[in-house]
Amino acid sequence: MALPFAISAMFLAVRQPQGVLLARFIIRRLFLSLITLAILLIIVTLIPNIAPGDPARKIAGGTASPERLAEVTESLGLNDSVPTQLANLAKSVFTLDFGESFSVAAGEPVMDLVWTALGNSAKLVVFALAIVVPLSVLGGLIAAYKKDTWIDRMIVNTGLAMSSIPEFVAGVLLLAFLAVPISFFKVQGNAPDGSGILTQLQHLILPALAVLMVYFGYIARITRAGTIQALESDYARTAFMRGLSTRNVFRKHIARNALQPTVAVLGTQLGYLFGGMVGLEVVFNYPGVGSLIIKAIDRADYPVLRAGVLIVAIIYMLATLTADLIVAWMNPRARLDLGSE
Amino acid sequence: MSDNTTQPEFDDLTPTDNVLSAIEDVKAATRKQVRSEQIRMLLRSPGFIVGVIVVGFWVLAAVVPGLLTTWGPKEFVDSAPPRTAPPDGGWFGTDKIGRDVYSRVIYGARPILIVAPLATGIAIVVGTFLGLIMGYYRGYVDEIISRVIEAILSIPVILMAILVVFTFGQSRPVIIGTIAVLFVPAITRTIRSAAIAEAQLDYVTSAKMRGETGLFIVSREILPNVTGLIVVELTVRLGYAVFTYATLAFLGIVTTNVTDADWGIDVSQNYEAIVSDIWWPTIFPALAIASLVIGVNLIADSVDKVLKS
Amino acid sequence: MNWNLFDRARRGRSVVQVEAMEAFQQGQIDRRSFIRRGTILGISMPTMAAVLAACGGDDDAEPAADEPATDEPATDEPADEPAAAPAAGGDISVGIQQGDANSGLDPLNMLDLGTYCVLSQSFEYLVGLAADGGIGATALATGWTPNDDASQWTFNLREGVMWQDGTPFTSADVAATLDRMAEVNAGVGGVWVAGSTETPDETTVVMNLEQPNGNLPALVSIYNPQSLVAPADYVSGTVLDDRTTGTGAWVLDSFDPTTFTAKFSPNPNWWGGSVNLDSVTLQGFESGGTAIAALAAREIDAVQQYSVAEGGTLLGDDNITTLRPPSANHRKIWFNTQLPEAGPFSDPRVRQAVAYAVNREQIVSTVYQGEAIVANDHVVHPSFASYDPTQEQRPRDIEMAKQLLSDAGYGDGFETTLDVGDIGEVPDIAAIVEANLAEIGISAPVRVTPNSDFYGEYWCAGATWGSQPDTGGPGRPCGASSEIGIVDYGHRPTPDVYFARALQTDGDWNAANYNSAEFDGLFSDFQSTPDADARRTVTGKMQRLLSEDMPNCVHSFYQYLSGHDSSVQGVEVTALGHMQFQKATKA
Repeated sequence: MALPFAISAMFLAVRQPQGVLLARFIIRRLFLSLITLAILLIIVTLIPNIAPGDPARKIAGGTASPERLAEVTESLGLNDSVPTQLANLAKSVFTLDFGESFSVAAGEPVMDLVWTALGNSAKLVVFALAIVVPLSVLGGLIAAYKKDTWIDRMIVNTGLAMSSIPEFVAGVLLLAFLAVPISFFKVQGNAPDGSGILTQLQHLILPALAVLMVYFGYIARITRAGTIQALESDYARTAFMRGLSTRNVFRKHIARNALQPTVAVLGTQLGYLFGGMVGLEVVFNYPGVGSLIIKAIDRADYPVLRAGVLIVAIIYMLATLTADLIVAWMNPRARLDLGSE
Repeated sequence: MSDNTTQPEFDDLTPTDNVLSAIEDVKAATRKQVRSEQIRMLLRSPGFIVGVIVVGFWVLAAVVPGLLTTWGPKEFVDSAPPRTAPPDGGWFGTDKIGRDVYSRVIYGARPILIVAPLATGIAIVVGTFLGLIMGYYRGYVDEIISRVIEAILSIPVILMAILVVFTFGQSRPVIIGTIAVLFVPAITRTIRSAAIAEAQLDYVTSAKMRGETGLFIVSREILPNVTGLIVVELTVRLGYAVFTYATLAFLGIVTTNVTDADWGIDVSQNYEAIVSDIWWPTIFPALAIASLVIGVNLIADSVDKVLKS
Repeated sequence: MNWNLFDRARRGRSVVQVEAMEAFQQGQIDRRSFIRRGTILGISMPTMAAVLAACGGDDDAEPAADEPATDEPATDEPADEPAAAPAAGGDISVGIQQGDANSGLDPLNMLDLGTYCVLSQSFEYLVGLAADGGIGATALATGWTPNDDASQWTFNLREGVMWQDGTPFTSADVAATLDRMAEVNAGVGGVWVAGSTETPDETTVVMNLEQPNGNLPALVSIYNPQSLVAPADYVSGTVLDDRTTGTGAWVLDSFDPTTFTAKFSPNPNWWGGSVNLDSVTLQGFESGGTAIAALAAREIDAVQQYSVAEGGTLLGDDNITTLRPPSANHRKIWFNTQLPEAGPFSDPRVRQAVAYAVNREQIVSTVYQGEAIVANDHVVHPSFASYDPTQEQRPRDIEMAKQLLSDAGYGDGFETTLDVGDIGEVPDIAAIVEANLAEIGISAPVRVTPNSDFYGEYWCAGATWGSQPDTGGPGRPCGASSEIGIVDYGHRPTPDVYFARALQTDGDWNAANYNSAEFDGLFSDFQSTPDADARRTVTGKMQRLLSEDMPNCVHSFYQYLSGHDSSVQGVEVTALGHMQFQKATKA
């Protein structure tokens, strides 16, 4: 493990053209992600092996015959040694083949279930972000420009209050006060089969609003902090003194620096958005990844469970990597900071 | 281990014990003065006051629920039929089986106020310990544990919690342990960064030159300087812990008895009735959750502001 | 009394049929019971009408006192049938119960209402659903007759019926189905054995029973859901989405197991001609409340079943039609009477204590808001022809309950866990039962398991391996069932299935591990007695035995409710989850 560090350190010590620095940075980040993935694989492999009771019996059901039970144990891989299980799991991840589901949808290929759920989650996430990001960033910018006025305080405090509310509570409140009295707002996140894209979005409005309630405060504050820092930086003050217009300064300098932390935060939150909105998915009966994982846990469907959890983790890692890359591109200095961790 | 202390050869410049303790006394006195200044600021901050009132009310409800209610949480009230809206059926109405919603909300404060503080406390202790060790010593151990931390953090807390509870059972100690374990990584990270920063400061270097052991430096030198951070982390994580426990309760993972008064469970048992216009058995516990988290976050926020200035 | 007419009706009928007619004529059974018995016994409509006419004006015999409102039809054909042709076209989507994932779409091994609904679209029964909610010759059999002592039944099959793949439907298919049922004991254990069915020709089936059974047609009817007729070469365990076939009016187009959604389109080769709708979509819902919300928002057109607790608003909605099919449905408490050894519930006094403690009135009024009746710890619904009304209702008596407990040695109470599935209002019943038990010192926290998991884990779990104790075996079919739990039973028109599967020794639904030779003997008598009076006496004895032994605490029978938008008409439902859309139209 020491060797890559030594190499990176050597490169960092010598001044390199920026392209190579970026490349080194990417490689190092990928490498670290792989290690994280490996550890995650270990955790996921261990779970059925250390769970109390017999996972195979739970899957096969109380009325299953001993032959069926043996079959299930075999296909769970529990007859193999732990290192073998680990190797098989790693192979599954890289070939994206997790076998067949047991009980969530008996016999169906696991990846089909995961892709469907991912597609649903993606719809919700994209739609929600399309609403949340512009509104929150705008809110943060306004709060920063109007710092310490009542507008600023209102935005920050409303955001704080709303993001304190767990997402299922937000969902339930929206359900009670919007969905029931007003027919435009739908009770279910999932539109009937074959609906057009507009109807599907209409059904997603309330879940997206719930996401907005949870994230507005957080993102607005981060944007606000970044913007304030940028506004009060030497560069900006000099620019203002030289008579440059606000818009000019904004475009050239502030936008980039203010949005950096926002991008970084979005990256980390993306994984959470995919798998962590379980409460929302339950309240609005929406078949996303979180709800798939819950079903898999309820029915001890290990193949689906493993696939779901790992996919969420991989999305998180990819998202944070992408976010770090964007930030590094936006701010060359960050490449050094992030590179040395 | 980068602890390469070389004994200086200038013995006569080594401060005597008297001088050392005098310096310590001055440091302590300054700290005390700063602390009382900060406490005064806190008490004047409106956010802090509101937060304390809200949280205080719930603590009262958790400790002496009988004082605040006339009925038990599982009692069938005879003053109003089931599904009666407030104010006819009591302050918060009656639920679908005829129990008093207000009583259930009051009694429901206890589970969450047992689990969340305990879990947070454990997480803080473990996280601080790990963070200080990793931040000060660095090296191999630091790298490995950091990777493990990242692995755990790459899955949303809720999913990890469900996985762990599923593996080890649904009893309360497991829940507390799970939440604690899941918060340790984030706390460790924060403390570790602070420890790294502190470790590069002069007073640490001088302590090393004096020949203090690593343990002494960590506990007597660095730790006091990060207590502010610890307090902030404590309050922030407490908010998250309440949040997480409520969600786990809502998902039906926290206990084997669904009839116990518990805000998250009540929401999950009753939210479907909202479409039949029976909103009160759900909304009041939901608002209780929200108010507790907001209260804790208000306290966290004001503590954070005060400690930063 | 027109004896001439009566004699003509009686002539040539089998002994059992004549006995029923005479019981009616003598006033031993009322009009409704006669019609029911007559249908079961295969007396044709004209003959029954003749008997009724012959006996003259006794049309207003009272139905049994506590019967819930079964006079609302099980279908909603409008009173004044419009002469114009029904509206054609339209797609219907229905919210149904999420099916059990372990069994899948298996017509023989299914056990939940969601799957019953799905499979009965493509497959059909020998004996179908009549307009009044009883059984009738509306499906694959056009008529049936018993022999003199009801030990042999002859069924006449409908002609011109085809399987969906074009092959003709014959008696061989029926015989094979009956054999399969006997092999897995689908509630018919001991009634007939595999290989006992003869097929003299392609449209006649002769069933030779192990012993006389006056209720046989009910066992091969829609009210024994697992009796769907499948082709002769059907392999036991095949699921519908793997092999799409059936004689029914609907062909399975697609099935999504994760959301339990099945889509059907009309079967052009159906023997009943054409249907009015273009498609039927059955969509599984994990939670009843969401289904009701979807109906209220008209995202679906109908809900298979809803509970009063969740769907109270539907009852008052003018744009929603609510159907109340005959409903002996109940959610009974079972006790594991044998395991753990020397456990509290192995003592009948403890079980009786629970029976005295449970507050039946509260359950009926709070949970069901009146759409239920109090029951007396046995499974014989007052609407059953053999119901004995002379048994006294057990009252609620806390003192008696405490006394019984201390007699049994549990004066200080004990702890246990009440296991329930997450269906409808079962958790609410559990909450009330928990409170009732607390009053006598029994601590019973409630553990709720999702429906899809409940049946395999806690109810009728007979595991003999893994982490379960060594359980199961003769006399103890469901050894690993929970100590105490609540399970849901759909409607049956006679108590046969309830007795055979849930209470008879080694019954495959016998979660209580009830093992009583006395009960088994009485049940055998029940099955072989065709005489209405004698049957009632036997049933009375069984009722009292069950109330005494208490393998289950049956506290109430509730009214099954099904709801749909009023633009839909002609839907026929049973209280077992079936929904028939052959005559349905959508405006």
